[in-house]
Amino acid sequence: MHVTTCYKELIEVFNPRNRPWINMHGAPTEKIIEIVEKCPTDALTWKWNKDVDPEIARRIKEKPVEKVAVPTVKIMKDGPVVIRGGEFKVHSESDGPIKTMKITSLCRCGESANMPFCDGTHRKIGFTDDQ
Amino acid sequence: MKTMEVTIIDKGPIVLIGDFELIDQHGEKRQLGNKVYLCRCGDSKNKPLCDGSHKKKWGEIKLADNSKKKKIIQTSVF
Repeated sequence: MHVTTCYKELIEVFNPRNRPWINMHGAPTEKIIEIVEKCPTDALTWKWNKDVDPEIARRIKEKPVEKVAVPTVKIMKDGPVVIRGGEFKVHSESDGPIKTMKITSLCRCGESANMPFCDGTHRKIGFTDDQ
Repeated sequence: MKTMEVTIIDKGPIVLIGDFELIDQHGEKRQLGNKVYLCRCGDSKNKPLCDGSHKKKWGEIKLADNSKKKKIIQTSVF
């Protein structure tokens, strides 16, 4: 998706009619960085060349790389372990890989009829974390 | 970043390996490293972590029967 902030605000550098469309000498470095950081889709990103003056690099820091989401493991009070998000694989020690949905609820009370998954039995037996 | 792996140990705990965010039953974020053993027998005195109590309870826990390679249907009932 093109938001077009770059060429609307700095046509001297970002001109889609040219090939190549980016002219690195069209404006001062700081100005180019300012406009690149306005790109909401991250179609444009920037980083320093290896020979950059360390003083300048210290003044204008590169943004850290966005981390990919990790799974969340949520212990439900008096209930199952709910695992969701990110990438994860579930497997049984004896039976190998287990196909799961994007959300997995694993029994913590030990009494599910559908082990290792939660089937709501914890409610019937009054399972609690408090001991 | 390591893809997280969840292992269900026979007659034992749930083992979490890799990168993940753990939130306990009190809503607190816990930093317990890249390998965590969660109680799934219900008897640990140190929930949500395994404390070996499954060894006493053991024998009463049965995995869902998938010996004929049927799909294990997971319910998301809390």
